[in-house]
Amino acid sequence: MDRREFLQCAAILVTGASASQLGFTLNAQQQAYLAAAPNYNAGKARYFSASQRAIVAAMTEVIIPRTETPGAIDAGVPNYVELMVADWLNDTERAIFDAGLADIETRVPQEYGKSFDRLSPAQQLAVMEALEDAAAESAWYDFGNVQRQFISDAPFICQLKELTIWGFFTSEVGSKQVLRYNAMPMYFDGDIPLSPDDSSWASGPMG
Amino acid sequence: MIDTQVYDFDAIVVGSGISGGWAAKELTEKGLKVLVLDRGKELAHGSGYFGEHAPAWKLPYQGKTPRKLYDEEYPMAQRVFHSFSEANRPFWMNEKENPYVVDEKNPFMWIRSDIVGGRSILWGRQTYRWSAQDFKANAQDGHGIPWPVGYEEIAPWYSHVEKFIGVNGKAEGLPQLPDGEFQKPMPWFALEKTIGERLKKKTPDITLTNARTAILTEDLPGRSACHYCGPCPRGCSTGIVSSQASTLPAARHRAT
Repeated sequence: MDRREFLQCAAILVTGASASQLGFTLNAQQQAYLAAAPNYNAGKARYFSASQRAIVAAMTEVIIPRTETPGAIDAGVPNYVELMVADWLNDTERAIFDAGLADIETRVPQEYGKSFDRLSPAQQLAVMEALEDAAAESAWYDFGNVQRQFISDAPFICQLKELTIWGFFTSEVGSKQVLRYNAMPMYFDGDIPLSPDDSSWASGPMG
Repeated sequence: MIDTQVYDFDAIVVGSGISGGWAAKELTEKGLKVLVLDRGKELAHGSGYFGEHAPAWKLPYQGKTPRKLYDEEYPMAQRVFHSFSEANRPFWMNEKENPYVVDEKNPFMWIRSDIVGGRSILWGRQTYRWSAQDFKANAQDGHGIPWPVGYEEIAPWYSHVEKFIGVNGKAEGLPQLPDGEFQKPMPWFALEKTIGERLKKKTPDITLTNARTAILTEDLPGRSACHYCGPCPRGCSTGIVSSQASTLPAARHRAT
């Protein structure tokens, strides 16, 4: 599965069926509640070292680069990944992530003479694709299109991709500036044409 | 010294959930003085639904399930209730404090809410009439005690309830799925239309019809139609039927 296919699958995974062009209206108390709640990915993360933080940011940006639309860094994905690794992954999963990141931190300078975040885009891509090739047999790829909690023995590159994709398409920037978000359409239309240039709809607040 | 005051009630309703709310409404409307008792947190209609429209980016882990917390403190709730999430978790019983006892050989999966209004806040609004067959099924199969009433006796009460709560659906005239007092049904997705048309051609004896849900597609007095935000079980501020939105205010209105 190449990156484009993966992104297509990921988009299906996180998008829902709500749809309309109307703005949404909230009552005053709910607006106050929503305004008061900080975005999750704005939380303070203290898990990575400064150099690890730079590497993870660069890696997420390879997965979702800024184009005419925002990329992973614009959407706060690196901080999301750090928060999730620190707080959400279980011990087994965190150990895989830590080892994978440590490997990039030590191996890339030996091979290229500088850290991952300072490599050229082509070099960064080569490093990431090598990780992907090495992980190709992982069961993680069998379930790339299925909603699930997490694959606990997924290799580092798969963990990073999953957290990046989820963190991006559930972020405010990803939902509003890349996907289209409408929390309260006010009417139901089950048959709205989607042209090839239209982005999909961000999930409404389901479940 | 404790001040005491003597209260006098004609009826005491225990529990303010979907049944208790209805009992309170019906009794007060018949002129009785009613006391409703419930346990759990007070929950204000509308403003109390803290997660109703919370987008993923406001939720912990941006919507990924807090696995450790749920496994330790809400194992049954996350298993039974598919819409259990950080947007409605405080409305449910914490199972570390109040564990469920389950007979593994004969499990009865059941979860309790921890709010006034009970699970009337937390349901998915699927609302179907039992058919004449359903009232007879257990007796025909030799299970349990035969129902003392049949469909014909209950049907007017179904209508009574449906008119008040508002149920949308499409009348089909099927004996196994009796029609009710329906608001207009929601339109179908393109895929559903296609499937419906093909079924009609190839297997005309199979009817594809709308889910019948207590979701307002039309305004009712004091309650506006659905604004299609999606997650019913987070609490509904537009006033789709719940004890908070409909039956308890009706009871209170009568009582004051």
